[in-house]
Amino acid sequence: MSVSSTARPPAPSASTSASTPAPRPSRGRRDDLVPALGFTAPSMLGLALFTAVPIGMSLVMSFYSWPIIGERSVRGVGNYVDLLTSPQFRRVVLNTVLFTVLYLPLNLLVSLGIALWVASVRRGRQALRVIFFIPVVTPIVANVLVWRMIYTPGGALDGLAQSAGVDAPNFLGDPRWAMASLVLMSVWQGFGYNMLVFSAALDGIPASINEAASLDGVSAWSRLRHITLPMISPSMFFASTMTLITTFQVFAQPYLLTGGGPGVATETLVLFVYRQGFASFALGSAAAAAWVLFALILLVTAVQFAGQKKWVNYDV
Amino acid sequence: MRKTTAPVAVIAAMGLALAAGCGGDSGGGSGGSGGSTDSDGNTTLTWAMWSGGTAERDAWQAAADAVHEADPSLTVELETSSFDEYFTKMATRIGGGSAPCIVSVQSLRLGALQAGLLPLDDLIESSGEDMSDFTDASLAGLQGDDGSQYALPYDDGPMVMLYNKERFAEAGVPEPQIGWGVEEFESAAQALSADGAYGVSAFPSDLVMFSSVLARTGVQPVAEDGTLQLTDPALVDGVSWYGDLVHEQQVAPQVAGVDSTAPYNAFIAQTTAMVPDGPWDLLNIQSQSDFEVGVVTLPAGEAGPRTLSAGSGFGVSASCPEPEAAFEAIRTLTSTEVLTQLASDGRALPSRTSAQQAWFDNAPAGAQEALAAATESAEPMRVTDDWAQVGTAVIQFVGPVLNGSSEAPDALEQIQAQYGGR
Repeated sequence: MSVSSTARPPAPSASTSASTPAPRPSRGRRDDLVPALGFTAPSMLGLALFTAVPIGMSLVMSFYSWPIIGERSVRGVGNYVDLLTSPQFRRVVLNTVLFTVLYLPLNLLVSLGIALWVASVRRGRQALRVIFFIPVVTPIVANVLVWRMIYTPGGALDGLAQSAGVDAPNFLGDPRWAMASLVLMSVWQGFGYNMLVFSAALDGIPASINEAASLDGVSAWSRLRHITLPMISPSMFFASTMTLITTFQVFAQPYLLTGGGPGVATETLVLFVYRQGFASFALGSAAAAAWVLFALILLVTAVQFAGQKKWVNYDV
Repeated sequence: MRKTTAPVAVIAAMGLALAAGCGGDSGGGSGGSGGSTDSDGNTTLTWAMWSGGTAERDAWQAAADAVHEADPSLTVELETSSFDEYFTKMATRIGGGSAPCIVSVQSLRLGALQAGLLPLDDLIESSGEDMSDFTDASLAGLQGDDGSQYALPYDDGPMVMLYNKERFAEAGVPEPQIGWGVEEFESAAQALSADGAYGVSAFPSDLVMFSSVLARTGVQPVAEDGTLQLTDPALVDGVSWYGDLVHEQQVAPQVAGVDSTAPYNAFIAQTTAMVPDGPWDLLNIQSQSDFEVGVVTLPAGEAGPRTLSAGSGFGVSASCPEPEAAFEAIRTLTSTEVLTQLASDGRALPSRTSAQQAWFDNAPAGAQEALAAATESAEPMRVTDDWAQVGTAVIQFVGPVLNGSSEAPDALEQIQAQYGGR
């Protein structure tokens, strides 16, 4: 009963408001509800089955000791306490943050730089964009195989360095280089997407604004700083938020290139979650780690949204 | 009112049912899985196996077909995945109650799957299977910590050293002889390391590294009582020596990444002239190499010749509704006929002495003698139940030791601290 009452229009005043004239305001809405529910049922079911239930389950699991084979038992916040007091987990979080701190600015700089350069090219602009976009659509496993051959001792980079008479470091085997190598490979793989986002935004800036500014004698640098960047700031906000979220979830690169090694130099949060769940079969601990990741992403994204007022300009 | 309540109630009920279904108990496989018998008495069984490619899969498919030929009422459906993936998948499937009837298992990874497998002792006894044809080591490797036989072996073998005969000849180094020692090995490796090529492949994966460490020091990473002993002084010494081969003596290339096929690929590409390996890979490596492959025992240390052995076999999942039929299928899969066929296809060294000749006929000259000598000094590699994780941690943490960026005692202590307490 309570269900049907909440489905009714909240108050008569709302349904009879004059601003949106409808043929049969109050009766029509109630009659539409049944077919509307029928139409939304498939996607509601899908949402429940594939999103809401797994999310709920993972939250429940995170409070259990949940081995894949054997008895489950309630642990309360034990999984979270274990994780937050484990030096290994702290290191994993630190690695993830380090990866993000290195990757995000580099990705934005490279994609913005190339987008600006491509926008200034007179001919072949579309072809260039396609070329830079190719790594994004290539399967990451294929990319990793190529980069393994580039990084490996005796590989492409080493060969290049040898011909210049120096020894290249062991990029994937040396703890000092492994993270940087992952970041570099990831930037190459990922910048094309943001480049496309920035390119679309740059194309949307009316040419007349820049023309007027250059007639007024504004330098190219000032035009970039005071016209172009503010005009594409909504795209930059979008790109940085989305990239940040996916960066926190980095998995394939460390899993395939370094296996989290050498030592724990490149073990990231999602790799840790995967190992806890599907190598150690401690599903409860894996779920708890996944919720820690969720909290981290939520926090950072909230900070970004709060900060956007200062630099994102929607008045165009 | 009634109209609106109905669909909402239906959706709510379905949601609840879903939540209940997912949250419900699914462990243990109460309903049975992986096999069924139809009304005509024909039984279909699923068989999960690892495979490295189409040729390998075809060989296993032929073995599955042989079961149907031997007993037309049995049909075996083969499912394959890569070796690394196989064990992750299998543990998940056993946990989820959807295990196949016939489970392939490697001796190093039996501990992780044992809880989901059926002890075969009663079935072996009632079938009257002649177990004496199987080599002792192959049977021992597939016995659980309770002494029960959990799988019938199809292959088994000791770790030996493969070497590139042509590289030895070019460098003017005499070919190694059965029973050679660590000093001879080190000087040969040094003579073979020049112009960007190296003497030997080194890699911190379990069988490759720990067999060399055992041969030198006589110590395994797991004690006889099943406890992890990575901080045993002799073992630490052995791992330090193994690391020295890479960063001190520089007779082995640096480790890069976690690709466990890297040592073999380097050998096939002639970047290295030696690689420790088991007979399961030998024919495959020989067919991929452009040079003549020699086989010799691992270089012995002061403790005398020692080596690790490992093998694989087929077991029956505890949730299989047709255990007798599955056992009959396993007997056919490990019969002399099928193992002989697999051996002549170039697969692993058969666990049955009656089928080994077909394998030796394919193997390089000298392999039989070297394997016979290695078998005499071989001991099954002992593992812990969580060996899959320990093995991953060893690759992760001992890799830098080999490369010289961390010290063996620190790395081993770290792994011991994490896994030794269980």
